[in-house]
Amino acid sequence: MLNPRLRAGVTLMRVLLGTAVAAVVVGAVRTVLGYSGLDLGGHMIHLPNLPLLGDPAPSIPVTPDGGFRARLTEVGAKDFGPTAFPWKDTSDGTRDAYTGLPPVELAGWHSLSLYFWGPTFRDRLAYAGPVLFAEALALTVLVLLWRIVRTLALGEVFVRDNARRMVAIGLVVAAGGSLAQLLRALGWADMVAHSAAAGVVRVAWSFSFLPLLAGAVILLLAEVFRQGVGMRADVDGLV
Amino acid sequence: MASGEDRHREDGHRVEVHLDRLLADRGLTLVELSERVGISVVNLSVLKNGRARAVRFSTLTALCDALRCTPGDLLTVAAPKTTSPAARQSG
Repeated sequence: MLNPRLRAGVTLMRVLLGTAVAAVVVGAVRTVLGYSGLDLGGHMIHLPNLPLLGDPAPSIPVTPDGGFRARLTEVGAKDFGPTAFPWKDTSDGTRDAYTGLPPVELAGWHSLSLYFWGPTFRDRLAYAGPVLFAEALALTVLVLLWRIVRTLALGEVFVRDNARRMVAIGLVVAAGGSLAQLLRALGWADMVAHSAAAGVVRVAWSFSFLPLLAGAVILLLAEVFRQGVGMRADVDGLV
Repeated sequence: MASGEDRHREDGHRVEVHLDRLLADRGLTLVELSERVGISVVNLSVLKNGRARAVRFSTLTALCDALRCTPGDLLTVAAPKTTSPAARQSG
């Protein structure tokens, strides 16, 4: 029988984990069906252009590349902005005026973002694939945490299975988080390389060591947990 | 279910607890003893049924005070089991 404080704590953890799972699932649905994701809803799912619901088109952070200044000179733009990639109307719809590829738009001041209007399915896969991978990782971690909380509710938290779950969480965070970053960078680079912006801008990306650091901390805690399992076994049957 | 002796061998000890005999001699129930020594009935039951693997000195002191006995009255070590001459011959 759990004491009331522990029971309240377990309930709170379940609520938080449930909320997190719901958020990840909603995010995954948006990634699969939304305009800026795989758009498998085929524009049937209308997502209003609200900040919390994401952009109306895939966008990636970029920085000027070798051809940037030449392009601005060509289009007569005094500063970077939407006119860097002018559009034209064709029989195939709106296209980039220079390359005839699907239109893109440059936006931002201190940090540039490249919006892909009319992305191909390859673009969408390159953009949404890493996001779905990261969401699957998040869901895996949440399921493992849920199982740990369940043992807490039973009053048997220092068990070998929980030590293994902690190790799994640490590895998912460290390795999975780092891999997700690399996949995202590769996907973005592929998008830019096949777009009207190729050679004009390039992906602005830097590797974050935060997943590795967080994973290391979790693995350290997993070892502490494992030793706790041993100590619990030592006092099992102690009166 | 393993016998008391089998369980002791599995735990690596031959300590026998005579709590039930002492309770009967003193006319106490397990619940009454629990109230006197401040140890849960569950733990006392674990001790009485030979499922305990270790006893804290504080627990031992409290039990001896409540039962007015010595540790030797409460705990004894059973003699090691020796094989009979016939069993040795057949082996």
